[in-house]
Amino acid sequence: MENKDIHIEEQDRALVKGCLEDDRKAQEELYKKFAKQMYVVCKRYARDRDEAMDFLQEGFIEVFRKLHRYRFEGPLGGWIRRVIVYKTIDALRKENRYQEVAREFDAELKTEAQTFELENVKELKADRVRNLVNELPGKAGLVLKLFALEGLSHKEIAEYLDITIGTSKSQLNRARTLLKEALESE
Amino acid sequence: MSKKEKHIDDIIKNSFDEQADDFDFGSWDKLEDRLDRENDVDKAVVSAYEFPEEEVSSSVWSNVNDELDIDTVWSRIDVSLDKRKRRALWWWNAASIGFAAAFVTLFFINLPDSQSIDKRYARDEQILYVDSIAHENSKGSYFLQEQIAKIDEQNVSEDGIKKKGFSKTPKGYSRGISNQGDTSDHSNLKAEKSDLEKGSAESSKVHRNNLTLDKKPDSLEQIDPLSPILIHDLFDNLSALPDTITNVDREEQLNKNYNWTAGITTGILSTSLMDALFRESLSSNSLTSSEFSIAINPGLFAQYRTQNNWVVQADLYLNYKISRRINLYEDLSYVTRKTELKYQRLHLYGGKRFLITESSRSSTFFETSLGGFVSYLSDQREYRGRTLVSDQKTLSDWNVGLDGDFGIVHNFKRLSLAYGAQVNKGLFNVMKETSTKSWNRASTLSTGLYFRLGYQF
Repeated sequence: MENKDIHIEEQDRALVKGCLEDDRKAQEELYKKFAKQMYVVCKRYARDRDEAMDFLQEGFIEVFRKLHRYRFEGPLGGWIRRVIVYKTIDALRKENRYQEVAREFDAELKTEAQTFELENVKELKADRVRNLVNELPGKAGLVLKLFALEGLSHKEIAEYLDITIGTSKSQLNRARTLLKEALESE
Repeated sequence: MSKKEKHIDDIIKNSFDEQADDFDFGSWDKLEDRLDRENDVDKAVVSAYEFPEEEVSSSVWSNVNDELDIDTVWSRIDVSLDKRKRRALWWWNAASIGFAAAFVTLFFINLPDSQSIDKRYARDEQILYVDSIAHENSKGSYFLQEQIAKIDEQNVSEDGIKKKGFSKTPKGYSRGISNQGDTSDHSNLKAEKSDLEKGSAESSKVHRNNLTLDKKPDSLEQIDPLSPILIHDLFDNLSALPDTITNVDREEQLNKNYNWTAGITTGILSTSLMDALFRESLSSNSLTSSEFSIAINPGLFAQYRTQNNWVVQADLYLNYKISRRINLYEDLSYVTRKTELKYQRLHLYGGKRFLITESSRSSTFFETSLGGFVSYLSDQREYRGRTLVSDQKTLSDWNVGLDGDFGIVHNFKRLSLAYGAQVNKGLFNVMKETSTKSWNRASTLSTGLYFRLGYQF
């Protein structure tokens, strides 16, 4: 496993080096390697697929512009994910959509679930959880996503959302409590 | 939430979100515990957002690719523009510093010699006279001592008197030196006998010893005190007078007003053609940029100077070059287009000189002048990169303009060296098209340094 990790790291280094030298093939290879994963990440914050692709596109442009800052201090995929999430939040901030994600629930996803006649309880529950998270008030839902899904620390969340650490903690606590109460009531 | 359970410093440090005021946060002390313990909801959230991977539309990479293309081009443009700007900046800085250093150096070299005796040469009379000033002896000061022994016909022979440069007159003894080397011709120089005193090194009393001319010069200047060393040389041994005083056979008279100067002149100039492309290159948003272009233009000059230091000068250039280099962004790359113009040019201008310093060997002036020029276009070429694309004349044959310069003139005997800054600007639109719209006008401009080396007569 360790050998595999080292091999992957060497591959990533070569990729990064090629991208920094404006090698378009290397850039395309890097994009193809991480595009699907990052698309999943973008869908967590987007209203629909189109918006998710917009987030993905802007995110990768930002990745290539900022690639010179990558110091190989962690996995390349993790760094790319972080950049794309931040870029996505920037886009949401501009549209003042911290509180809107829940309101404008992804009708397409809901429709898809119905179209494909989802009977999987787990999937229904997942769907419900997403609904509840999106309906959380204030910054609670976003803080919960950043903490639980992206693994950011409170300090990082506070810096990026321009809130205090205390607010980040309190909002997380609030999100969990409300979500738990809602799920238990069902 | 009870305020008693909140720590005031924590409240200030970690201010609450106002929108959450209706929510029971519990006490601060328990918040951290709750965050650590009640994290099972996170797993449900993570599970809920585990979307399957799916293909991404090809349009995403296409758009990213286009954006990267733009970024690449801009980064290259940015670097190349910076290099050019830096080169031009270094050129001008070096020229400015060099000019300033040369000016300052020459200025300090030609500071007046505080030890020198003021020497005046009458313009029409080739007689050298010396004014000397005696100073009261005082502690620490130096004083002029006449070490001329009391002339006593019994003690000093005529020859001895003559050797010392004195000759006998009815009124006393006089001393005079003329450029003919005839020390006896002292008719214009007199020294009152009463002014002569026996002196010695210990004498503390000195007297003014004025050697006056029958015909006084136009002006006299204050004389600086003499140094002890010079005084010693002068009066211990009169034959040891500085060469500049006694040796009137050796040199021609200095500070003679030579009216004419002629020689060669050279301009090291930044030249350009101010047209629509040039104006476009001035915009920070434009992809067009002007490059620094230097031309060296040698020529001949002749100058006439009046007694009051007014000057009239003519410069003739048989191959006056004006070139312009401009970078245009064409076909996804930068291309340099160069225009070279060759003129025969005649400058005429007038100005004035202002004396800065003067010594026995040289003089330095500040000179400024204004005037105009007329020029005839003899050749025009256009280059794209290194390739000659046009050798046809598309500009007007004749041009007229204004010019001005200011600088330093350094005269050393008959040689004259001048240098300074020069600007000249064409007034006519050099484009042959009849349109007079401002965007179509083009005029020549040259700025830079000039150097002149001439012979005075």
